[in-house]
Amino acid sequence: MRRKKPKNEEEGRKDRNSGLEGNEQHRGPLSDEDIQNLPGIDPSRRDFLYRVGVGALSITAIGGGLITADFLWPDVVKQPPIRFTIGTPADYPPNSVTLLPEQKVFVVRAVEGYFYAMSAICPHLGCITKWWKDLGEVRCPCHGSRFGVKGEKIAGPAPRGLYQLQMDQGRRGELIVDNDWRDKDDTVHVLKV
Amino acid sequence: MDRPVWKSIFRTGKVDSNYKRALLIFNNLFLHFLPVKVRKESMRFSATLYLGFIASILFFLLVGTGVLLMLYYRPAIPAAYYDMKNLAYVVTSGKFFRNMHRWAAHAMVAIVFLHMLRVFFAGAYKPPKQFNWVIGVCLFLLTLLLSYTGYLLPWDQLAYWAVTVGTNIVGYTPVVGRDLQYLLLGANEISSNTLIRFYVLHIVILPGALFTLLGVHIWRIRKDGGITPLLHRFSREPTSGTLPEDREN
Repeated sequence: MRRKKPKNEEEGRKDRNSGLEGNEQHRGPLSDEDIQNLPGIDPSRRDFLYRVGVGALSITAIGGGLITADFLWPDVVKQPPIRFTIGTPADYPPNSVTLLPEQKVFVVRAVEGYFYAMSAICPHLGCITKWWKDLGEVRCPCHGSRFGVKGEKIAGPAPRGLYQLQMDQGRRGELIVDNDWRDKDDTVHVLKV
Repeated sequence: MDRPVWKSIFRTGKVDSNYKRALLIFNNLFLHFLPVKVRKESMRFSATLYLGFIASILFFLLVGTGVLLMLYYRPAIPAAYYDMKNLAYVVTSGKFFRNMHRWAAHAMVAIVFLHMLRVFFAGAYKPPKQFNWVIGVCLFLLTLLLSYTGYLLPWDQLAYWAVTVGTNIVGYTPVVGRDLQYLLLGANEISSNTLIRFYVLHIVILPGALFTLLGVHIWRIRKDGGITPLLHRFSREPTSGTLPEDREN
């Protein structure tokens, strides 16, 4: 309930005083002046507690926001392994380009017999490129980027050539591809078998 | 109209005066954010081409057909694709409702864009309506995002590669691109995480945001002085949207 507005300063003071005396309850919010006049109450304590309260609520809100944001970033994702085996050298005839669709990787065996691998993901906008044997080049079906057999860019909107991957040979002679392509440069990593 | 049951619901009673007509609008939850009075010329087709109205009708049509499609659609791999086929070939009227959803979505993008053009050419973005223009731009962006997130849900080749390209564009954002892309995909590449994320965005978050902003948008038309007709009598006046009697006051 709103307090009736006092007619003048004196009446207002009397009204406030009467509200604080005896059993009669004060019916409106206390003004700063009222608080100053109250015996035994330090206004700075109220201010301090107010600030502590607001601070605690703010920290809780920010923490809640951060935890919620963190929830949106998955910690574990299901995807093909970064490093994987692709069979033996005999599986790949010389002068061949083979697409491994699950891993999105080209495995190339040159005429001379050595191997190299490159990502089949177009560095433009992530479509899977295709090897055109007749044309002797890799082409992206989405926006028409063209790459040479070593992954070098020939034409199109792609900002660079195909990402080159590292190849190794295991103890039993199996071929291993390391698909950690995001950090690799344009150098072709040749594997001689 | 004067029966107790009728009056208990509509309160206004028999509508036989302008006052009662105004009360009819005021006392109705769904109508009260509309203006009580509008100028007759603002209601003409040539004034606004009804584009905003058509866009909002399309939105509610999309909500209706979308809810129906949800009854047969599971956002999982490979169920999503088969559920689409199921809707197309097995469910009674499934193809009809899916096509209605699809075409209404295309139409909404076009109509919202045309609405934006109409507002621009009518000068309705000028003060005092500049904030409503900003809300309108947000509504346009939400419409595009709804269209885009719905694109992945059929889980066919077109959907997969369109979203691959789209999320790779997000990846080009300076500094935060990769993080944003990961957030959107829920993984390093499009996966079941992506499908469920786009699904939640498409059916809850974006329509909720659009519905809320749409309410504010329509409410503010009234608050900012009513509709600005495309070819209105006051075209030489410096301030759009205000009526002559408002200016006098």
